[in-house]
Amino acid sequence: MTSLVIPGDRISVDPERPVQLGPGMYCDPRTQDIVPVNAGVLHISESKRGQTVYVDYDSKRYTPAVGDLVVGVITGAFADSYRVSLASFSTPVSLSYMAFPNASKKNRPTLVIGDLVYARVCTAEKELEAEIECMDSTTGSESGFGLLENGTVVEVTLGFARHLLFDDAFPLLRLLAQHCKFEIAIGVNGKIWIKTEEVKDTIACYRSIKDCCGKPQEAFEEIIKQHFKTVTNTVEE
Amino acid sequence: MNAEISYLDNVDGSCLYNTPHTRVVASATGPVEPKARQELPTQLALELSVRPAAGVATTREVRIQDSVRAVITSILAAYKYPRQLCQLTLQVLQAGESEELFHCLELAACVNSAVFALVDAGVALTALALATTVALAHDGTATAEPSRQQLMDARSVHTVVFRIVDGKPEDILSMDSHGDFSEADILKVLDVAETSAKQLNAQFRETVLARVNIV
Repeated sequence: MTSLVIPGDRISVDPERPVQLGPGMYCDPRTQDIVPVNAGVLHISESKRGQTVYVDYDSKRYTPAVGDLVVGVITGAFADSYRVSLASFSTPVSLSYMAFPNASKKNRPTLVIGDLVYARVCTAEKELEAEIECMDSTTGSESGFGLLENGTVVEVTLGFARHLLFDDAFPLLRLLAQHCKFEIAIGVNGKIWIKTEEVKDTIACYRSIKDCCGKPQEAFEEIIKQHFKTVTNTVEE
Repeated sequence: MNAEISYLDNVDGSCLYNTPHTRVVASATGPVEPKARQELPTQLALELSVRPAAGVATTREVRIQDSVRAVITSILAAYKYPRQLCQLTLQVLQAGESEELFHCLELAACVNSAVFALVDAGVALTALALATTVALAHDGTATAEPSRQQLMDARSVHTVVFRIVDGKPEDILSMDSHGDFSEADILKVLDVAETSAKQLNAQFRETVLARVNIV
């Protein structure tokens, strides 16, 4: 079931069975009422253990949640961890030296301040500093996490980043791939790292992603074509 | 009333709020890392500033600021963001009233624009707050959203803020009244204000729906 809700609306759930609250929902500590706290599309689904309720809403500021794939910037280094920024002006998160593949007391990771990393959020308690890791902690393998070298970062809204990462039918990446070769890492914190072979392609990709954010999917093809045309027609002086 | 949501690019949430008389730009940023002195151990801290259409902020703006803060604090789901900060800036572009005599239109516009900006930013709110201004003329007629002249001619002016739960005004968060009035007048004013708040709420829903549909 899906419908639009805004903060304070009453939603109908069966009070007799357990309810799991996702993003955008809040259980008032005093009244124990379940209310949506964000404006967006309400999703109620039945699962084995009860009902799951969440609000799908778009915003710009990221708050860490366990399991999220994120792109972060190293902003500090301590005795046993790095400090990583996932969104400007937000509380930084920590990345332990032991959260890398093949880590040991002797074998330290070699990241420096300003480096970009692709990581997964492993703990996110609202009262505590969130932690991220650069490996798959079940297998201990690298699985694509770690340092992102060269390339550039595009900042988009969180809803757009989620579409790009999870929606297989989303046409943007397929359309970009028709114009150039690229490597991409999408963080649900709204940061997209992209690396291509040539600077002009990077510029075209950057502008295309930025412009497609907030536009209907049908418009993507024309936007991308236009940006690649502009960079190909520009002669280096 | 009309509101342009996501009016500014570099903040998390913003809105340009227009009524026939008053214009306010609101910006909301949060939750972000607070300065040590702003930090509250269990809840979200709110930094709010109101800037006047002309000149620097005076005690008058601080008064509006305090009223807006009281309203916003009561609808924020503040315990969802311990040790975080939310910054709200409200810039009045057009007061729509004689600034030395009144502040009611600005107060209503500030409350409404702040709520729009917070919804746009995705800061958790447990309910909405919507404000309306009602002017009571000497002959006893109550007008919602009065003009500059209607304010000047009024016997009393009232700004009422309702908490909107499930699409209906549920209770009063704040009432700011000036002038001469009786108990019967107040009841009349509340009646008119409630009708006006219902209209506002319908427009609010429409605006938010349009924003959600873009995504």
